[in-house]
Amino acid sequence: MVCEMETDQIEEMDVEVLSSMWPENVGTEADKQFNVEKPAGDLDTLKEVTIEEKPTIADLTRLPELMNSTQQGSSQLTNLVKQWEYMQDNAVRLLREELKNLNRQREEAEAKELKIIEEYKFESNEPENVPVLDETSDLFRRFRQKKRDALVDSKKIEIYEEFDTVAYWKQKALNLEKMLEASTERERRLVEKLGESLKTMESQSAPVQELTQNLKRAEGFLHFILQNAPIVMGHQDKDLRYLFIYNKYPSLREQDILGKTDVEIFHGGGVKESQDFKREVLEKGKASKREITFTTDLFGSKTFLIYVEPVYNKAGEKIGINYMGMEVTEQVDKREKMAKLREDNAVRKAMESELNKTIHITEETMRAKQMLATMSHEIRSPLSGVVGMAEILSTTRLDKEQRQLLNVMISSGDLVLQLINDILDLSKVESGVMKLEATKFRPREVVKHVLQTAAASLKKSLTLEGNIADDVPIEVELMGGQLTVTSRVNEGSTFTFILPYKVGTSDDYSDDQDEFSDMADHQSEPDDTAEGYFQFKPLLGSIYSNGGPGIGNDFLPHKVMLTSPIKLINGFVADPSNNTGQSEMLQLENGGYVNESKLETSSGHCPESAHQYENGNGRCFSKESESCSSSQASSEGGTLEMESELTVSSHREEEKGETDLKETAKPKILLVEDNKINIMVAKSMMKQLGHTMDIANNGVEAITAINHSNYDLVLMDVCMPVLDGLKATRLIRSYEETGNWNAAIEAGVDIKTLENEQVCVRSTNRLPIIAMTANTLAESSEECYANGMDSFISKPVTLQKLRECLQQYLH
Amino acid sequence: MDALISQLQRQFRDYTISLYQQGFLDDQFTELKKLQDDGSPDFVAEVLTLFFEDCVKLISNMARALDKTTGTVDFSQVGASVHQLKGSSSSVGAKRVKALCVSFKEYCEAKNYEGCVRCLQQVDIEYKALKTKLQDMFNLEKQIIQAGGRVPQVDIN
Repeated sequence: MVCEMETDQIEEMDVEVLSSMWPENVGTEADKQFNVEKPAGDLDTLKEVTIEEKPTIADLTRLPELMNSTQQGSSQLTNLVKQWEYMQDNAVRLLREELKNLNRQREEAEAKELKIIEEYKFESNEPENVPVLDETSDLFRRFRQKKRDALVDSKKIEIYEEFDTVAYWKQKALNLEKMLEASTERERRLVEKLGESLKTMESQSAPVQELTQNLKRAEGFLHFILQNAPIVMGHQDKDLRYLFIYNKYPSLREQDILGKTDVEIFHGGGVKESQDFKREVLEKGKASKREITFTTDLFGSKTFLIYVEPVYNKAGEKIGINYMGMEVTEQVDKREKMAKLREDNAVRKAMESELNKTIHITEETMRAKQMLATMSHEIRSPLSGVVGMAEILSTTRLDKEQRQLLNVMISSGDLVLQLINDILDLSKVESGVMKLEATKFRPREVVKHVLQTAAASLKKSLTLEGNIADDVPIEVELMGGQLTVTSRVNEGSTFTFILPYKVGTSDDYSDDQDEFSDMADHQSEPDDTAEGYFQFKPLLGSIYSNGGPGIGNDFLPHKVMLTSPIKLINGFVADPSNNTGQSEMLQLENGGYVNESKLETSSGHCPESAHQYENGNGRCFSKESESCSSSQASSEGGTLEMESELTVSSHREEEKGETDLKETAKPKILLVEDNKINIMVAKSMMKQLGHTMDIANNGVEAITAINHSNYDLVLMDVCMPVLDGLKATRLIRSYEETGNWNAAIEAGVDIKTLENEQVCVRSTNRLPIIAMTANTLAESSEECYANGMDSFISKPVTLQKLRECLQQYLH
Repeated sequence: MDALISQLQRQFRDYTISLYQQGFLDDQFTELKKLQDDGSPDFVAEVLTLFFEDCVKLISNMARALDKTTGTVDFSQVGASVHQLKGSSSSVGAKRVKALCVSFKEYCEAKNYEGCVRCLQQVDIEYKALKTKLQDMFNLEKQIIQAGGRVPQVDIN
């Protein structure tokens, strides 16, 4: 097909200068092919390869204008043309040369002919019968004449002149004639050839042939490479109509493609997209690639990666596009499958890890629950033991103090047991099953119990009183009742007050943690009228309820150390220094907290505003149905200093008796000693004997101290700086006698005036002053007595000595 | 483990008794030991620490007072320090130190310079010796406790 086209074209296009010489249908229009270089390598290899030339369709009418106008086209053309012209010129030159040669030859031949004719003529023009003998001389004469007129090459004739015979000359003439004939003949032939080659110049012109060969070879390579490639190439004009296509879909014919656009040829998915893409490229003027999936009825669903570039003419205008497409359906499929696989993998892995996590969590939860159950059980058993024993103990003979301690033990134990029970019900709380219930209770007992336990647990620095007003009934059902619990704060320190209370199961459920109270003496009755929640607002909350594991440790003011209830119980210690009669004195550890609260109760339901008790953290303790907002947090930042208003006045006869004890229980002892070590030792001994001592380091301090407060006994070291023991004793005795410190003032002692109300006028009882002597001469016993000492102890001080002394001088 | 404990306890007892027998300690020390209980578990150690600190202070005071280069020797000052030391040592049961203090005091009152200096040196030696001995005793106690046993009450008589 290609060749045919070629020849056709040649016939048609011989008029135009460029394109006519250009073999029009050079297979493909891949621009690069216009490069006229020879394909490298062994040119003959192609011969062994069957090159199936793929169908190419070209709109050849348009080709010339294309060739002319495009830059690419024309550059290639010019290359070829140049070469051809060169060839042409060469050819002409060569021919010219030939012609020249021929002419020359011809001229030679003519010259020779002329000469022969002259010779001949010369012979015939001699009418005279020249005697043979004379002939030569005549000839000779004539020739001599002729010689002058003759042309250049008369040499030859000169040579033969010597012989000068007619025969010779005839022969010669004949020869020459023959030669002339031959040369004429030759000339004729040459002219013929010239005429012929003039006619068949192109076909016989070797360079052009070669060129064609080259081109054919290049095209061959291209075909060779592309014959099995999944590639389609084409060129479209600026309306996107096909001008050329290579490797089109086989069923399409030339007329189906040429002059049509994509959308006209194909129908189906992706066609429009590719068309738009081409248009885009045309507009933007930038070549680019894109992957487009086609689904046409023609060839099903295929994905092509197409490359489109715009084509400009020499003037810079767009005239169309070149495009190349490669089928990549399978690759695309594979790619997508891979991606999907990876995705699936990731998802699966995530699921697995999630599952694992869930499993772990479940396991842990199970374990935790298990542990909780076990733990509570374990704790319960020994506790039951303790409580049981305590109860048995209570049946034995005990004195008052012991019984009191025992009571505390028993109630605390019960509480703890209860606590544990409730821990086990933690799950119920979490699920919201826990309910509240209003019950009757006895406030006095509750308060008493709480005070007991609280006090018992803590060390003595503060005192707490509980007062319950007389008009508070024995048993209280909090709805509609008034219960105020207040307390006095000792010296502004803070402390915690714990009022455990119990919440039974009822219909209500609050957000807050459960709290417990011990209302051992009454039964809980469900109250039909009320809405069923507890309105008692315990101020305390926490040692019991929250001291337990996991129940709202954050509930508590953080300064309170509440680890376990049992640990806190020490013993009931009364502080004699705050003798105030009826109220129960309890001492609490410093640093405890008191929750400020007002115990208000209202009937029926409890609106949020009514719940105003807070603990240190400002959280509401109430157990209302609505969640209680933590309000009025009087805590400031980290310092939870709150005063509690707890007064539960109770009439307790028991306490009275005890308070009486207090007056005599604690004698005030003054130790006057300068040596630190002696002080330490003496103090420790006194502690063993159950007393505390005040310390003065010299006589002056001693006097000041005595002035300040009432002492029951003074232990006076003799040798001291500033004012020694003997002198000091003397002064004290003078004060005792005279009632004033004049002597002391005279001696230079600085006495503060008696402003302190606590100093009472001493009774006639004289202050026992015991000297501690080092048994030196200056400290002899006589000296001591002389100065007013009552007795003496020799150093070093021992327990025994002190004990005897105390026994003697303290009642 | 029990064997170790009883061995340590025996060591401790012997050592303690030796201290008494050598005159380092006297009954007052026993009194001190009686004051140690669960309420004040380190009482003895605390008192002794204080005592030794006091020693150092008093001895340096005395040395300064006895330093002739600063002028005349103030025997009353020395005497006061000695008195202090005597009191302390007698309170803790440091027998030898106390005995030295007695003679030291006499020298002071007699204003015997050489005697004082000599006594001072001796006091220095003596308190240090006592300190070492007591340190060893405490170490033994610690070992016993670490081994899980209890420190035995040593009856001197």
